[in-house]
Amino acid sequence: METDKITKLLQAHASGDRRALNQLMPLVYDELKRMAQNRLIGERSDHTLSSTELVHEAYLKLIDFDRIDWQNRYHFFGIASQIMRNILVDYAVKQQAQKRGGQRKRVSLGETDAITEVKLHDILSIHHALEKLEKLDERQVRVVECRFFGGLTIDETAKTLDISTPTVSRDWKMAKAWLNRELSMSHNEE
Amino acid sequence: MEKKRWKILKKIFSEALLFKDDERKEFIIRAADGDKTIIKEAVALLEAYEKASLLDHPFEEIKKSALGGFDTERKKGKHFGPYKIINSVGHGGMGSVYLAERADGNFNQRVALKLLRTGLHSNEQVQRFLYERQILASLNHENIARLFDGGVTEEGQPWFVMEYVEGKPINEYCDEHKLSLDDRLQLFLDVCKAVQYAHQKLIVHRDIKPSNILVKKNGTIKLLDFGIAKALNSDDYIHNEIPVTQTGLFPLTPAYASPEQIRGETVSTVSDIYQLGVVLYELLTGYQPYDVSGKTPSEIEQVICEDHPTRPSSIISKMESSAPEYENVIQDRSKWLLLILGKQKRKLRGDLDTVILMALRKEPDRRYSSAEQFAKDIKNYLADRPVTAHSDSWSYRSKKFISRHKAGVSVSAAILFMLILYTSTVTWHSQQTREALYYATEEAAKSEQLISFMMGMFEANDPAEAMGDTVTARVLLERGIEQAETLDNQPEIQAQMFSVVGKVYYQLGEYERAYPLLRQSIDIKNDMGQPEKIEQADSYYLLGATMHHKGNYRDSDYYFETALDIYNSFTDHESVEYANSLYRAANIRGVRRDFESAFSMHEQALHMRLNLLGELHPEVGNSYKSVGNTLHQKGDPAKAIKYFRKAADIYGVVYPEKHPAIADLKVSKARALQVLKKFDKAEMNLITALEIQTDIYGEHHTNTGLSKMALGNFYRNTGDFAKAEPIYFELISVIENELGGDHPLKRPVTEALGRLYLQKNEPEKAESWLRKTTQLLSSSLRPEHPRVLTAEYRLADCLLQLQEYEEAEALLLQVLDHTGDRSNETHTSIKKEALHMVVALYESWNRKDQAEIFSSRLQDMDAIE
Repeated sequence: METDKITKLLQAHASGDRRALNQLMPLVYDELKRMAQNRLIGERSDHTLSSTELVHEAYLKLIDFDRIDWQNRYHFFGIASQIMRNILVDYAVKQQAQKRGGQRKRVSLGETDAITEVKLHDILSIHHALEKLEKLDERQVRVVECRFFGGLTIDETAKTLDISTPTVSRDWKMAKAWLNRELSMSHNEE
Repeated sequence: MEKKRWKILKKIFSEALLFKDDERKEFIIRAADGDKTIIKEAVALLEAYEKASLLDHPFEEIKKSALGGFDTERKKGKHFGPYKIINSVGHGGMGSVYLAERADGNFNQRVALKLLRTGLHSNEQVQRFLYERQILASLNHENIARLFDGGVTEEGQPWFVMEYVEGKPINEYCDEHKLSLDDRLQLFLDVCKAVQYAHQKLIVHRDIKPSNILVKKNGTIKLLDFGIAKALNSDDYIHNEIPVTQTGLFPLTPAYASPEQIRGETVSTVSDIYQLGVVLYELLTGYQPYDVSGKTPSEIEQVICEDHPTRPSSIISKMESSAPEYENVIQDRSKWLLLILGKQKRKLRGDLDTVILMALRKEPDRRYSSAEQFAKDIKNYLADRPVTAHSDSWSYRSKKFISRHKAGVSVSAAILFMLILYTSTVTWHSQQTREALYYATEEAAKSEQLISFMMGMFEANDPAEAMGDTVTARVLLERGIEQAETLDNQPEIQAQMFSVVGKVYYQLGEYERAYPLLRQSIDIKNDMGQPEKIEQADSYYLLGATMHHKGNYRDSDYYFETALDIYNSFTDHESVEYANSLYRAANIRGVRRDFESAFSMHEQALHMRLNLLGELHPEVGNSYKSVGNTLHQKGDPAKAIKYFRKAADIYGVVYPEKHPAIADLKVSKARALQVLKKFDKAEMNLITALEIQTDIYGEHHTNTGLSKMALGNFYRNTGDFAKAEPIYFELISVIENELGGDHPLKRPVTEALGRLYLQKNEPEKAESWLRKTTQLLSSSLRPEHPRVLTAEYRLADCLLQLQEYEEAEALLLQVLDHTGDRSNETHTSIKKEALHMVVALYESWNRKDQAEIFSSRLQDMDAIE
């Protein structure tokens, strides 16, 4: 049932219905998370899985292949990459709120957790930097989402965003440089 | 950084990577063409590129814990107070929205549950939040989404339960339903009503924007999230954090934020008025008043706190003329919007512009004081009544600017000239590529704004506007001239510069300096031998205005007429300068006593001004007044008074109580009242006029003088010589001591004194004044001018009474000679009067023969008639 709905929305969005995305996003968002959770049931809490895996798997599960051509497949990847970004940012925001909140349960700060904290902080910094970059160059942000959050290859990113591979490559290089600089500056400020 | 600079940077950066490591920097310096900022940015990016990065590997690790506790799956069925989540509706900047229902199942009420991202960190914050929630729950209005409940989760996450509204954001709704201008306004009035209701309960929305104003299928409005911004941020405000920088946390939308919100200052109900203004602006034009996309917080602050928005009607005009920058909009919004709104451009241009801009003023206390006032003015507009909003005058803005930037004014002026120079050059040379053209037009638009801003700034030097605030910018203007003088090889730009500086001097009232510059600008353009353009007409008009101020009416007449000739050769052209030229030329016709054509030209100017400026504009008031004056001169004082009333209505709105134009109008009105024999009213009008002028200009000013003159004439005409005489003498002394002996006001006063003594039967006193009058007149007018002849005739009358027969004879014969065979009415009547007097002269002189000769000539004249 969800598969049917998602497929339809994806087709609608691909053919230019911008509003379809608003409905598509929360559906995929929830599905992606549910999948990740199911995969992780029974695993130890520090077990990890890769976003590449997740995005591709979501595609396999959520899309009705008979009705979707390969172009829409990449279209889905693009959306899924954006959603991965949202999932991670939401999580990071919430973790920080909890950390500052008075009623949080005590967390033991073992070595693994310390690493996670750094990662969380990075996600937020990257997210904020991307928000800035979005105002200058929206396409570069999409490239970063595909490459970093969605774990897509240059080639997949090119197909997803319907641009050439050299363009992806150029955008990716500059976005990385720009984000690096932005992140190092925001670190210095703190 | 602006997008276009980003594009340049992007190109240079990508190309630099194609070079070997050690050649990259060199390439950048070469490619950036001396742009130091770009060089710095590109080099920094290269360095950052070479460093290892977090982004080198995709984000591979998602911890299980990252996926726990935040998703709908878990939320589904979760309870918040008595509410249970059914499904997720959306995720936005503030948090997530869920569809929920009451868990007790007593009644099937579906609600929207908002779970906010912000965490509340202290007990105090939680308490305040709960307190605010209580207040918000008291809002009970059909156009405001009810707040049912709210609370804070154990983790410190606040949640709200509100009325679930299915609807479209107001802007999308208007576009989808293709609502007309009036329908959009009607819808907006509902919004105002709801906001007014909340304001009466002292609740400020703080985040009014289209996505918070939903329109349901049945067309009713619902405002969402009333007061939530405050509920969440009361603490932040106290600590004065700058809201814009709090991305993600603070639900403030920069494009809709008021200047005080951007600066983190006190927010009040008038901040909502501002945001309502932004929404209305967007509803009517499809644009937000300020473009904040791609700007840094400090840039945003500057734009919102310093820039002035384009008039809504200008946006529509630009869209119509399909300027390239609006291409997207035209595609996006398709033609209907242009059709609907385009037709309304005229309407929009006048009152509605003023209304919207009033709501958008920077200073909270100069906006509408309430949503109700705002709504009332929109209703005024809809009912074709005059609106109460005043246009935000340049002089007010410039006064503000000057008081804020006293030291900076000089710098700005210098920048202005460099800017003009720069942009003119750009426009000139770089039309090869589309991109360059784009830059140039954008820059030119900027400099145009700057110029008009500077112009506005200098307006403040008119004592009527500035009350004492003076700018010493003259030195800087000289610098501008020096720059212009070096531009011999670019005559067009040179001409433009001269005309700009000339215009500034004109505004400063330095007519001596303005004149040669304007003249030079015209000469340069004439030398270029191109067909006359409208700009040239504009320059001629300005030159005329300059001469007019200098009191050189002969030249000013010529320039006004030349300007008018050029304007008239363009069919369908309408402009403010054209209207002004018509107005001035009509005045000239009036002076020449050609009242019919003066009347029709004044009427034409009036209609043009009404079209261009709307009903409530000072110039329109002036036109009504002048049409009234010509009607009076044509002999219809009763109808004239109707026009004066129209003018008074406008002045009453656009000017403060004491304004020279109001004084001037009162003088005109008094004149008509006098003819209608309403002497008391006439006298009252004249006295008030004089008081106003004295108040504004002081004793020693031409305008005060003219007013005094009018009062003196009134007393003289009504036979109250005792009151008239001291007034005239005061005037003479002011003219000789303060205004300069050759001031154009001198002649009317000497003439009035001469006539006064003649009327009082004191020819010995009259003589010297009448002599002065003829002297002054014949130095500026042709000897056969009716005024010269009348003055000479009057002097002869005086001399006759003094029995100075020989001189009187000579004068009268001269008058008769100059009236000659002219067949026009004025000359004929002067001739007749002169003949009568010659006969009387010879009779008193005991020269019967001669008396008879002239007497028979007189009879011949009567016979012809």
